[in-house]
Amino acid sequence: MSISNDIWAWISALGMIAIFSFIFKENPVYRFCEHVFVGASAGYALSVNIKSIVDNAWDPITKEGKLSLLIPVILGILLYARFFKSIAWLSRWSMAYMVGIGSGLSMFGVVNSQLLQQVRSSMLPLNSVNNILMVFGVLSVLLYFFFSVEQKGAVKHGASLGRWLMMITFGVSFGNVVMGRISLLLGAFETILGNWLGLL
Amino acid sequence: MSLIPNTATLLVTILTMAAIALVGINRSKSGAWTPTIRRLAGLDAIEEAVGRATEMGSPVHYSPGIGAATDDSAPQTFAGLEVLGYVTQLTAKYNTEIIVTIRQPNVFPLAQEIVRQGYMTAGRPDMFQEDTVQFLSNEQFAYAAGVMGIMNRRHVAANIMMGAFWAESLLFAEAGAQVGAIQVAGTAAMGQIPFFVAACDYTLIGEELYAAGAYLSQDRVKLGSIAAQDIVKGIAMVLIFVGSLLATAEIDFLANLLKK
Amino acid sequence: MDFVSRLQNVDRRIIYILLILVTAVPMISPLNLPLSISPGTTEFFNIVDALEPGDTVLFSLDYAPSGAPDVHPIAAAVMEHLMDKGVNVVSVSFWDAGPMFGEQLMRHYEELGYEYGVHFANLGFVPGQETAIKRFGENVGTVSRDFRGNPVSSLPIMEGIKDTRDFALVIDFVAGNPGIQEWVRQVQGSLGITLLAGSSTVNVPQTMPFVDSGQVKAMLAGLRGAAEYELVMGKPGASVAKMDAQSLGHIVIILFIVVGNIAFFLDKKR
Repeated sequence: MSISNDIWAWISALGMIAIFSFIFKENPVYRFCEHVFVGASAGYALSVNIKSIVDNAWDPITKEGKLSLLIPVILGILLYARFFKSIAWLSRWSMAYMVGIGSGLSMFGVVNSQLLQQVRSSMLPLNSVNNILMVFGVLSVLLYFFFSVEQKGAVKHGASLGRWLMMITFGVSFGNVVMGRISLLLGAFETILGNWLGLL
Repeated sequence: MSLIPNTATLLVTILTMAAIALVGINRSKSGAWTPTIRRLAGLDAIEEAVGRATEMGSPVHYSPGIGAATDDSAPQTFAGLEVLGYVTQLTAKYNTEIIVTIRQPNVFPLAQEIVRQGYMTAGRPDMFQEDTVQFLSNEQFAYAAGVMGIMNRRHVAANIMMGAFWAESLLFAEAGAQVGAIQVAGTAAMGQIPFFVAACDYTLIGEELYAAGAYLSQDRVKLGSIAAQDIVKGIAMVLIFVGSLLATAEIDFLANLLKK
Repeated sequence: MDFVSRLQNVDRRIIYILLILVTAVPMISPLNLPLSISPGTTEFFNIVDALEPGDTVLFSLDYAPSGAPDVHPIAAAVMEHLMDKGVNVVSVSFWDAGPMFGEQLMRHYEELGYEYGVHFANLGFVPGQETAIKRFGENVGTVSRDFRGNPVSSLPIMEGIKDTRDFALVIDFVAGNPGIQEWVRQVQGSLGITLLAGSSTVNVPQTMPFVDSGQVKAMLAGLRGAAEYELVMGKPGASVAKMDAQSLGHIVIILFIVVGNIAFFLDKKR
């Protein structure tokens, strides 16, 4: 065992232990570290965002004379008009622009990649158990989400198969979350036991 | 002017979907067609939960999610607010207290108005109190801590959560389970549905939340839109089924068409 | 409180302590439990292994410290493979914390004598989420300066790269949105790039349909994916060492689920 001499290894390990102390009871050390974390993340995000404004707008406009970039800059500044009651309506222009661009972009992408290509990839030859499960699984889940038809007779059976399949999927999803959370715990141990205490 | 290669099917699909939605909504709006939506089992579960709270003499907690009324989670928030109107009327009918907690400042006035209207519709405007709808915090986990505190202190007997939720979903559901509340949840946030399914008594899954909102409000535009979506889903099902049969016969014409 | 009720209401602190113990101990002294390799990992490895020295790969580092222990090891394992093969790496990020991880990956190899700007470069954070992914996908020149402040046009590694089709591969290391969905929707669908994913375990169910449909060619899932990759590469490292702890952690959780359910049904029966 060789404890680290690096001050950052100490800070990150002690910070993690302080946050873990919440498991037992909410306490002032936990609260202190929580606030430091929130503050540090906000500070980091602010610095990265300022840098991206300088790199993507300020420098190209002032050094390279790309004046067309003034349009998005002005639209961006207008977003802050919402803080002044008399001109708050101006922020809607920027919002409308962003919502419009966002919807247009996602409409193309969603219909192509998440509808057409997914429908295409569900057209499988019904020659193996896997494929049959897949095709009828997709159909039954879609049937479950039919709202304008009463669930009676064959529709009811199909939809209930869809519900069962979704529950299995949710179980898989939950299992993945548990696995992911343990990975995060192990990452924390690596910092505490490895980087700080030198036990690994 | 020519089309970018391999986008013809995409263009036809977008135009067809838009046409189906437009025709569906317009016919529904004009009264030429009255789409019906089946009643969802989750809505019966809500009535049962409010009934249970009445029997126990404890309040009902309602959260319309943590999404705003202005971003891409807005449809979920609005569906949550429509269900809130229904729950408020139920609590007025049973003379049971409801506590509505809010995270987004822009959702607060909407929720307040909906609860006030709900009480008025049920003929009980006197039940509306200033603290029926509470704005807790717009910081995600501060709001979560506030909700969990209310559930514990007030021993809520029913916890209804309808809207957009993120990492706080399991915290809420666990806090509700700890106080023994009947819990009904609904969200279209795919990542959170498993938690609600595992920890709540009934969950409206994905699109069911929107359908519940349309069913309860009986808004003709929303009913038309849901029915139009059903038609699109029907077309997708037929395509998948026919495409699979063709693929079994080693004919890949339909699959190739979708690539173009 | 009788035994059945007590089983249903185990103090959460007991669960935490047990979980901490069974995961921490095997990290200090590993048990070397066997680890199987999934076909997806082999496929991922084969695609990366088929690259030629001098090719350039794009890393999209879309994760933050909260998801890093599950995703960063995948990026580190793939980076090791690429550096070994003499393949260059350019990183970009659509999450503001992402560039930090790019620096972490690259500094290690700088210490080993690899050269920044020649073998790898960090283009930093591009704001604008889905719109940014589309714009960057179609025109890499959107980014004029790298994370270290150098003009991107001055980096030898960027010579001849105009859009993402000029990269031999695009690998999205992802813990949420924006991430793989946006890459598929905005770039893979229209430009037809070869896209791979290194996904956080939580994100796997959302990524899987794209792998099945072939829009994402292969995926490595979480820490386990990283461990499998290290094994396939023949360089078992930090991720493999954590797998015993992961397995034992799962066993404890499974036990609690089983015991909790048995107690629940016994209670219901009464």
